[in-house]
Amino acid sequence: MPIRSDHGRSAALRELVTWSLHSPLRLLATTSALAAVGIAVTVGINAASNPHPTPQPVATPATTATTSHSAAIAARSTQPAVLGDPQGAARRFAETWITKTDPDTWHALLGPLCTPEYAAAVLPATGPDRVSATAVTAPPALVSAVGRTAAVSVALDTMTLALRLQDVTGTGDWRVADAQPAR
Amino acid sequence: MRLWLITLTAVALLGGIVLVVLTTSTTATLALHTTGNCTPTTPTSDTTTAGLTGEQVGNATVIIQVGQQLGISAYGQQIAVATAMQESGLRNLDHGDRDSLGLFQQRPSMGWGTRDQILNPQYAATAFYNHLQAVPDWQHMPLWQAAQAVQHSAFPQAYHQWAQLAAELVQRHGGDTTCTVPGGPQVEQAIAFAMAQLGKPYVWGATGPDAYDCSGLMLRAWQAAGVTLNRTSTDQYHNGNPIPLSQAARGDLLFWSYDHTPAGIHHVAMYLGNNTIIEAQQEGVPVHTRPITLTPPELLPTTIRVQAPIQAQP
Repeated sequence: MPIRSDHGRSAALRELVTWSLHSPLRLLATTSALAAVGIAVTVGINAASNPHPTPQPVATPATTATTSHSAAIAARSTQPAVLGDPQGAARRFAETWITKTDPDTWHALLGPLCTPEYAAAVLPATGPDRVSATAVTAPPALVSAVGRTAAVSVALDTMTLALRLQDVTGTGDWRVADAQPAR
Repeated sequence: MRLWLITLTAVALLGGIVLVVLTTSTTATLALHTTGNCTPTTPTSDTTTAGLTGEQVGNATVIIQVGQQLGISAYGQQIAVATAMQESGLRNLDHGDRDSLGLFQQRPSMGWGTRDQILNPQYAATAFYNHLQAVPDWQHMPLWQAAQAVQHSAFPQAYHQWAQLAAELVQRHGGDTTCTVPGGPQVEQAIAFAMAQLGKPYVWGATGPDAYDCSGLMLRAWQAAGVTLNRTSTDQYHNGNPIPLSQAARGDLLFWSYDHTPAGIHHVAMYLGNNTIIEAQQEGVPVHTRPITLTPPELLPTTIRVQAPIQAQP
């Protein structure tokens, strides 16, 4: 057995270590304190290094779709959730889109019906000869409309157009921002 | 004897804490380095591989394997898979627009082959690759333009929404396709390119080198770092992970929306840190940097930290 002295570094260390074992209360306090420090450090590290925070709900498409959908239902049942006539704008786009004309005329007629970005970035990459449809076969259907965005589908004789529209002025000036074949 | 017991207890307690700390930091480090994965950790659209059926994955595999046999680059394979996903949903359809058929909706009347040939996935994929290789400089085109050069679609931009899904599938089959790590080395390359465009005029639809629109500047800046973004500002919202504005970092894309939703996006800019952005703002205003306040409602409440395919060099 080593000789235990009441003085010196080993005595101080022994005092520190044995402090918690003098009573059950002290043991509990020490254990709790150590656990608290551990948890705090863990939480701190997690918070500091989490590279992918949960996105805010407004930005998730699922939430947007749900909101848009319920707003569309509200629009049909009570009063319009949006200004103007997105379906009318969608119908004008679809009717122009299926026009069999020369590419320059086609682009010139469609351009004003689209957002400037869609007209400038996407339209030039296609033309009337790529469109097989020749007739609109049903009134445009409002899929969703909320705030300044709307989704409208237009049935054509060969396919269904899924259009996304934006109210570019906030006064009901609806323009096509995206066109896709409906899935 | 009692001292041994005491020391042992103390060591065990301290060791436990050290272990917890180490484990946590290791987990955090691993999470930070999701290198090369092509699907954003928090996807902002439903265009991921998660929902694909066995039939769709099987057809993608055929397209990728035919590409490998023909010696087509991983980028070419990615273009082919994205094209088939848009045209047929990766299903071998026996019908379509006009006389269109099969995975790529190819038309017998346009010289793509007989009905039976086109409905053979190996044949259809080979025909696609042959046409792709005939497109001058396709290796350096954005995915949607290369696909459109082969397909002549009425919806030219639609191919790009499948770029990341296709990259992931090609990657799964050993293809040399990688994606940016969020906040990776591409950020400073993209910023350097954008800064070199200062003073150039704004022109709607322009993607450089002499003029830009808002998304065109983002497109070319990231392309300079080898990263392909979508074409329009609305679509660029899907090129990465949403991050709260308060945590915006250099290179993040900031979006302006008509109505606080991603569907209403009409403008995009690049964050430079210190409440400053670089942008091609509007007609009459050359490419510039300007200070902004990082608070909605002017901005969407989330930035996009780019996580998109790095275009494999041929």
